[in-house]
Amino acid sequence: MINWYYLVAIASMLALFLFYKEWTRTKRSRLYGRLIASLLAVLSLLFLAHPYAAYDKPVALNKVILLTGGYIKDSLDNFLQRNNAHIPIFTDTRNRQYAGSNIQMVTDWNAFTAKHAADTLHVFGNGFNDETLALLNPHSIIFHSPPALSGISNIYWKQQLEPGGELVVQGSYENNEQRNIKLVLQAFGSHKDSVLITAGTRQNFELHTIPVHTGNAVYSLIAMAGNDTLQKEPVPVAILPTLPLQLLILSSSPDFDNTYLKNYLSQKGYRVTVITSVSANKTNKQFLNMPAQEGTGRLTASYLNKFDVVMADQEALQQISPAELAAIRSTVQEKGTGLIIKLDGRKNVAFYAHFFPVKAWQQNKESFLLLRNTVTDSNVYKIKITDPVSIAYQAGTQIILQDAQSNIYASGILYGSGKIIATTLQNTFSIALAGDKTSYQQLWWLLLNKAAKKTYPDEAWRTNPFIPLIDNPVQMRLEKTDLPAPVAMADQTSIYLKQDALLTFAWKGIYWPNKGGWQPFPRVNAVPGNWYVYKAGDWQQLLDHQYMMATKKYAALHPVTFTKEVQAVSRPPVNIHLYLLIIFLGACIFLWVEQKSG
Amino acid sequence: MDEMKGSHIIKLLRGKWILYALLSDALISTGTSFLMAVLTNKLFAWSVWWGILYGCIVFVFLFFVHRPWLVKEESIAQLLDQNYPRLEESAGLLLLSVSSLNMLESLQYKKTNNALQAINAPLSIGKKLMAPAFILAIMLGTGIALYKIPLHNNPVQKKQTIAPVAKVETILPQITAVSIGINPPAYTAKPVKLQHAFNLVAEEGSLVDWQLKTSTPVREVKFIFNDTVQIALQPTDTAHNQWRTAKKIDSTGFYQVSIDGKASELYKIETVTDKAPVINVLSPRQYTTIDFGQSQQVKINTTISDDYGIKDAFIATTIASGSGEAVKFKEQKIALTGFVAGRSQYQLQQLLLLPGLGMQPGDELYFYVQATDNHQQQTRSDIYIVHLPDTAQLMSLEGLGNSLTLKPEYFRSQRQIIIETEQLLKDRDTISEETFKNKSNNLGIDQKLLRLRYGKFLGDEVSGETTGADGLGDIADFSNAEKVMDAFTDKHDNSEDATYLDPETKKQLRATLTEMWDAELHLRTFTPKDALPFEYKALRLLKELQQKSRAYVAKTNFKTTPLDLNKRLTGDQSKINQLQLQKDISRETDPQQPVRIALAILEKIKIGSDNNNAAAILQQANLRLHEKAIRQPALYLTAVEALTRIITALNMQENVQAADMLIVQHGLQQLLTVPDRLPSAAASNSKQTLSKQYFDNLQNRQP
Repeated sequence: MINWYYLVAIASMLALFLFYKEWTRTKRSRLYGRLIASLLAVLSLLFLAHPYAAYDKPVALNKVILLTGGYIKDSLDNFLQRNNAHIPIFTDTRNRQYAGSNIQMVTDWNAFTAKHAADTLHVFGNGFNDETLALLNPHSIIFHSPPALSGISNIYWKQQLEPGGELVVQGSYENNEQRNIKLVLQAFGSHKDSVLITAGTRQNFELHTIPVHTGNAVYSLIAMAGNDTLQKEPVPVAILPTLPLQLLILSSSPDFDNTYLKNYLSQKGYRVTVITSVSANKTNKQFLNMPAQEGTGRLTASYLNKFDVVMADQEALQQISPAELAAIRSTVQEKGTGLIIKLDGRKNVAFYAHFFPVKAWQQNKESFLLLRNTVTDSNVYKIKITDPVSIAYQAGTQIILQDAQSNIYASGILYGSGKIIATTLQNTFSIALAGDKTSYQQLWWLLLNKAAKKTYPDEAWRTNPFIPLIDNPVQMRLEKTDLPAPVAMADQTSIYLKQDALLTFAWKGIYWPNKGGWQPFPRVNAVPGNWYVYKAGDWQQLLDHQYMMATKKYAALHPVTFTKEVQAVSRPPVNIHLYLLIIFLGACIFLWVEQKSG
Repeated sequence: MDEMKGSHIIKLLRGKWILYALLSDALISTGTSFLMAVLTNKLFAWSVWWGILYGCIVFVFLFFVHRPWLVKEESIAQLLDQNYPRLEESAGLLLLSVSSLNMLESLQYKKTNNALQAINAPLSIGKKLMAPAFILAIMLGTGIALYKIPLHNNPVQKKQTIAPVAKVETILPQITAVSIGINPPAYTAKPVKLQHAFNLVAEEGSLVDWQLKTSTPVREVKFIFNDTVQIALQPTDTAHNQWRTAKKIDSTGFYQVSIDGKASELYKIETVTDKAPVINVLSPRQYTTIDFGQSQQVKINTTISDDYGIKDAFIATTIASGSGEAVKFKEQKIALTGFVAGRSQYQLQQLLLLPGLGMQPGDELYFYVQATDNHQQQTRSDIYIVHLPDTAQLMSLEGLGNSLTLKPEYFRSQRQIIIETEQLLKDRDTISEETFKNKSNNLGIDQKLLRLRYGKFLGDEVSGETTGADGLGDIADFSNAEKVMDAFTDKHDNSEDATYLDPETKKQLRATLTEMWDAELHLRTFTPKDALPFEYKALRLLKELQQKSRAYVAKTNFKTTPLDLNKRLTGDQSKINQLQLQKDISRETDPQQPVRIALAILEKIKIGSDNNNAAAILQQANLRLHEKAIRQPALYLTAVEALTRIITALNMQENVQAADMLIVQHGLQQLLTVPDRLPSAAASNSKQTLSKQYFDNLQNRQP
């Protein structure tokens, strides 16, 4: 390809020659017209000869600067100096200043990306959030990230707990400083737990406390270096009251373990029915905190459906009629009621038996067993068992309690929509009588909670992101099976919901919260709970860190390339040839006609 | 060249002089920098690395003061002239060039040159370093000493010594002076205390006497104790300016001063309760047996302490003698030697001579230590038992005949050995030395056999009984592996004895065997007298074993008719009603629930959202705080006051102080315990909703 400059030189020479000829012509009429026509002819010829010359230079070299929060002025100065050019600077908020040049606001990212489709975007600062990046997609960027930020880089905790539940705040901390940093979990002004982050490390941390309040509260997570508070972030925690369970206990003979459990639960307000057979065809029925059973006293599916958990010993299930056993089985399978079976060492052939094969074994009667909670792998219960019977492991079952030798004492399995839990423990009361009430509570909490029928709340709300900020869009997701109208009311504002294409019960909408703190969820029918909206500036370091990570990832996925395709896109439309040709012909015709007429 | 040597030496000397000057400067600056670094580190906690900077500064300073580069060769020559007369004031000549010298000068030049070369180590410049080195050593020493000595104004320590600022009491404006006399009860033996602040710390049972002075005459002055009891103060002058009352303080709590109906803030009353004496018996052990041969005495070693003083302390002993229905008890009080009433700390020792107390073999001594303090509070220690076994009882055959005996012959043997040992000791004077030794040895052998027979119960190997590889010679058994192994291996795994006895019995048997070992040792070394205690102990342990293994069968004289299992539970029960119980147990509510809610409500008030029944719930929480404050005013009184202020502010629609909020939340949190974790039905999440839909659809599809 002939170089553009040669072409320009030739064209200029041609133009000068033509000008000279026109100028020196004796006839002076329409001199300027002729000069202009000559120039036009030469120019159009030039561009016709090398029509794309002007676009040959990769247009992507046009640089555009995007400023985001936390940019470092020095690095921007440096960049501008190095490029030694006037580069337009854009930003997304009005109040971001850069001395010495006027910054243009970007209000519509779609328009911006369309306008600067060919330009290289240089992003300074911490970068963008996911939503903005989605709008930029697939435009490639070069990210000039500031050095790694010191602070909490990840965080999670369960915002809604039940009474007595443990609050666990987990996360990781990037300590790029030269000093140790102490993270403190504070509740109502007093320290609950703390952890030390060593200087210059990235460390995962976990802080624990059991909240003592009821209702909504805001704890704080504080990062301290010596006596300086580096960061103080809100940790909202809501303690929601729980509904007591309904429990049916079937017992083949009066037994102290059941009696103790019944007394303990009924005093706590649980509705418990105990049916104990005391002689042939004679049973002792106790209805605690609930009305007596009406009718024949048979166990029917509709009666059993009222209960969350049915607890029975092996023999009691053998004593009841086949119809009743079938009712229990179908309730567990179809309605999701939990079944807890207390196994003794004997063989049996009931429907649940093959999940839990039992074996009795010899054991030194002097010693205590330490049972380990394998679900959370945390608690250990000390119990004395005189004739231990353990459950052999079967595929598909979940081990719930086992001792140090991995003998299983409680395990569970999903059965239809319900659960069957089997345990061989017959004397759990001895834990409580030995003075360890907490262990007794925890043990039964574990077994009953595992078994309990799952409730399907009428409506449930979920929010995204984890840290919803005031005056920022929050994705609200409603789970509800039948919605009269896809609108929810949040504090005078309507949220219009869109149904999920695959999950028919899921509805989504965008909400811009305009006040911070605890607030009720948007209203559809009733108000099911509260959620927390953070004030501007809360968890800023975490968000900056997340923006940085997201932008880095985006920049890695969308690297800047100077490929042919990019140039092809930037070529002018083909019909410019035509215009050039018309101009050239027009100019030539004018000159020719002028000369002929002349 | 020889001529040049003199000037060369002078040049060298100059170089050396400069070098040593620099070195001495370096030493001094090093010492100074070290000392400075330690000092600044101690006083201002600056980094020790600043020491390098101090060192550089001092060095540069000294360098410019001394200006070693100014030292000229001429001055060295001058110095040499001054120090060494033999140079004849001519060292300067050596610096001149030889060619420029006249005749006389060149002669003198040579002379001086030779003289200078003859001087060994001229000027002794090395000694110049002595003083700087000494200074350096002193500075290093001082620095190290300073580093070791903890300074009082160390900033780290300073922070720790900051005590929490005591809250300043606010008193009612009418009160100009208050004087409180605290008269502790007599048992404390403490003098009367006088104070001018309302917050009280008094010994339990103290008589407190308040005297108030008011600026203006007032109608009435009252104290309100724990928000319930009111005590009116009596005017002591006619102008109604001075008031007085007294009260005995028995419990913790708080009180307010009310003048003409205007109440002050809450003042706390803390009482110091008298603690009961603490007795610690260090020896003997809880259960002691004095075996045959041991000295019959018990050494009691005890410490007694109390916060105000012990009035009385003694040992109470009970001797139980006889057995069965003929058991007799004898009680005795023994004063502790060295005990002087009134002190608060004692370390006492007492030797009990058992025969002196009238103890016979077979008796048991029970004793405890009791102490009474000035406040009539008594403490007694655990009961300790000393057992003096009756050797005669051990020898009796009674009880062997009529009970189940597992190993009777062995008991007899042990008894026999004891009898024979005693006989041998009696006969010692009458028999020959050799017979004595023989008999003793034979007894030792008997003891060994006995031990081996017991050892079998424990699965011990029987030594001396291995018969060798007999029976293997039979040609038919050649290459019979089983038989060969039989002969040469121990069959630990099939030892039935190993599980024949329960572990407890085994343990005791093993102890018996140990005693037998010792008895055998002494018998075989011809000291049967020393063997006797071990033989007795072995017998006692065996006797206990025997008692343990005795089975008890109750005498009965009626027989039940055999039960016909076919008829079991087939009786007519139609007249018996089904048992049915319906009961509503009132739910045991968490008494701390209002406090838990109050915490969340305070949080709401903090962010300014209004709550209608906030005041009512806070009032309930305040009640709980009150109860606590009466018991522990130091912990909860400030919280009660702050919460009262908050409630008033809420009722008056005023702003609540943030500081009050913090105090209350802190107090409420201290009061609360972790709530019980109760099982409940868990709410499912969306994934389960999806799987439930799937499950329901599956169910519906089923025919």
